[in-house]
Amino acid sequence: MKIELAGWSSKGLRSPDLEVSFKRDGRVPHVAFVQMPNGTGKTTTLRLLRAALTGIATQWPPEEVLRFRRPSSDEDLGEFIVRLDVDNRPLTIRMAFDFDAQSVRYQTTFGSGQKESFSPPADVGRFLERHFVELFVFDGEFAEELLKPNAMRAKRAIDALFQLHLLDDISAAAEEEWHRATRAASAKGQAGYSRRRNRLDKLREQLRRVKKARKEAEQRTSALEAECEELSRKITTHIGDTEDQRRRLEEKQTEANAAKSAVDVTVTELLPILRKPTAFHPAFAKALVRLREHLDKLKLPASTSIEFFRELQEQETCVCGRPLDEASRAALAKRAASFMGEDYNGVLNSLKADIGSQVEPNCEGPAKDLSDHLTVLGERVKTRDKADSEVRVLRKRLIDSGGDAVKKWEEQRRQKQEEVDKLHQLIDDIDRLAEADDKEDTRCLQALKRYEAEAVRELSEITETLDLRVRTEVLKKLLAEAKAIAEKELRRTIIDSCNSRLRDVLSRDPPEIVEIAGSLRLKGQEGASVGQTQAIGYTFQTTLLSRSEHQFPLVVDSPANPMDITVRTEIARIVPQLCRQFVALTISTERLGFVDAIHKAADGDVLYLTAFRKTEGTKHLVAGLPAEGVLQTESGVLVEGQEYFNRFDLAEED
Amino acid sequence: MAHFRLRDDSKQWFKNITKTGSEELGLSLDFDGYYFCVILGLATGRRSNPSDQSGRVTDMVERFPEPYRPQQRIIAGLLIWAELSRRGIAVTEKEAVQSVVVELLDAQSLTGLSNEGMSLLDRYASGGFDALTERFEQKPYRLEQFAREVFGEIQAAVENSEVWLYSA
Repeated sequence: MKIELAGWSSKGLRSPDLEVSFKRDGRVPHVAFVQMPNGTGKTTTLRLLRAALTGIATQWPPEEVLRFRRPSSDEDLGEFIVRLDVDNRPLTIRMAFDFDAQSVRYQTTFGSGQKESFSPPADVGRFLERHFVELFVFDGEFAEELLKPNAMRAKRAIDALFQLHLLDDISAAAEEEWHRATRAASAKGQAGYSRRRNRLDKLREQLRRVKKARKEAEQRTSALEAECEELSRKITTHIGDTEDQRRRLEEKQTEANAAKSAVDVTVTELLPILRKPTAFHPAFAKALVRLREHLDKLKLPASTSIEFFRELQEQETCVCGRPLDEASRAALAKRAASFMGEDYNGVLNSLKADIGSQVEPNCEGPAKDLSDHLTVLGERVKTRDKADSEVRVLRKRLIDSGGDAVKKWEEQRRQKQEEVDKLHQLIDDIDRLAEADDKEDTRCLQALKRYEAEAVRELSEITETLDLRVRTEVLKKLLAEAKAIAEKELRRTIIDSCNSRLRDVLSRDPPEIVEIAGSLRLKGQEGASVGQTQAIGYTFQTTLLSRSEHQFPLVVDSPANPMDITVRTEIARIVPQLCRQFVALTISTERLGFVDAIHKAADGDVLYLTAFRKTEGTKHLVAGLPAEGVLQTESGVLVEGQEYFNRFDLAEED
Repeated sequence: MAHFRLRDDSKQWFKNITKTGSEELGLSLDFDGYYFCVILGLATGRRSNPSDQSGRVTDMVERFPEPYRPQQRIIAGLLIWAELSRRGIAVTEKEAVQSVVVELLDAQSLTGLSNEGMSLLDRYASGGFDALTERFEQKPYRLEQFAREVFGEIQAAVENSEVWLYSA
């Protein structure tokens, strides 16, 4: 990406109203000098440039906004506009000052789009943040801070250029994603996992025990029933002395079996009758018949549906031919509400049809049918119970008369039958439906399976949570390591490049950078002279910018002021090599040893501008302006030209 | 899709007369128990909120089981009748009757009942179960015994009901 500074304009602010444009014949020159005598607003312009390029001014407190107000001016509004070319597409950022409201609003224009905010395109916006903008809109203060032991400027500048913070952003995004994914989870830690794992293990052990118990109960029941049957056979064979008694028992048993079958058949026949509600009482049938009759009387469902009236409301005329006005339509809407939709008509007709076909007019049939069945059932139940009772009595009598052996067998059979009954109860309890008060040690298989499914779900949830946590930690660790390695390698190569350039620039006594922590640390010295500091700042900054695959303008306030002539010349020689656009806000005393050297290094691709404020003290300058290349506003003058630039001087300048 | 909803305690109450693998004689559907409760609820006019009355309520079926399909509109008719009576609406009041019909029926529903209608039937079933447990000292153990007793209870309830005996 290539970002160029096309110019700026200022109006109604502390600095004079000026419009500075660097573009000539559709391109910006390699170097542009804007000579601004002290008091013309160099520092103000640099701050405005930074504010325009970072969007920071919306956060300024009122007193900060008011600092940009022109002294003794009643004007409430002001503006500062920066024009950039991003890959040859214009990007304009406008700051609108409202001194009355003590606020600043931004407006961003890119291509054909305009937004009432600081909204540069995303690919440009990532460079338009404070620490990065300080790299290419540069002043002596920044250079000083690079060497301050506790300042973080050097580190931040590296971070800003190489955007290593993106690795932190990925790390934060991974953490955020973990929180989002596990927000609904009730437990997230290892303790929660162990608790759930133990619960599931216990439930599965209980399930295994219950299933084993059921299987053993079934096997035992089967064996006991066979033994009971064998004992019964032995008892039957040996009881009673007479064939007659045995035959009587067998006959009674046959009768009891038949009575039981009769009851079973009656119950089986009964179920379909019970499933008819009208069988329970004739009143149900009568109510249904009455409901049907009244639906008919009420003409429900209506022969005309609500849809007919809704459609009619849309027509110009009624079915009778009369025109429909608003009053008629309102009346139709009101009446339509008393009709049902066609679908209701269908369901109501089916209801009436079913009542008609299934409910007999006299209403008594099904109720009588059920009543008769229940009477028969009652009689058959009595017969069965009587037969069962007779079998029990006869059997007891025969056993009593059969001697000690038979009594012993009967006692054994009874005990075994008791055990069978208990085992049946156990199986029933295992097979029963789950109840609300079943605990996790229940024998009810259905309840245990429900608990198991719940425990599996909970364990699965926390397993996924923990797995995601582990993966998040791995990713964060990798990112942290990648960042540490990248920082270390970048610092090493930047130190090497900077030191190499410093040996050229400050060849007589070059300082050596040994470490970049938060700031730059020099070998064997605590600080540096003003000139050294400025030179180190340039070196560091141009080294960083030259490593970027993108192109940025380099805007510098007083680029040569604190340096001696030798250093100025060296800096001037290298600066054009390190950037494609160099914009210097200078004062006249910086020309010596700097301007000519840059002019030469940039092969003469240099734009010379001189700006000054219109005051009592500059009236003579206004009077002596050249005939061409002059732009004047109410408060300022901008003159283009090398010759004027070089002869411009003011006594009050340093 | 709405379901008929069954109180777990009622399911448990009917378990001894429900057909199982070893027991061939008994109610073959969960809906059977629900149905007896509905009929007793309609007969007595008792309704209750299943969730308030039982620890757990489960979705049972979203339509009438096959053996009950011929009776589904009959049951809907009884529900309409019971609700008209409960709300003090005479069967001659066309708009009010129509309003109840629209509220309780739904042509698009598998049951022919609206969600409101199904929910109402659940409430009658829950009220019927409350009545059943008050009238029976213990859970039924034989269907032949239960059938005779529940018939007697429903008969008695209808005989004492203004909804059914006097208005019909």
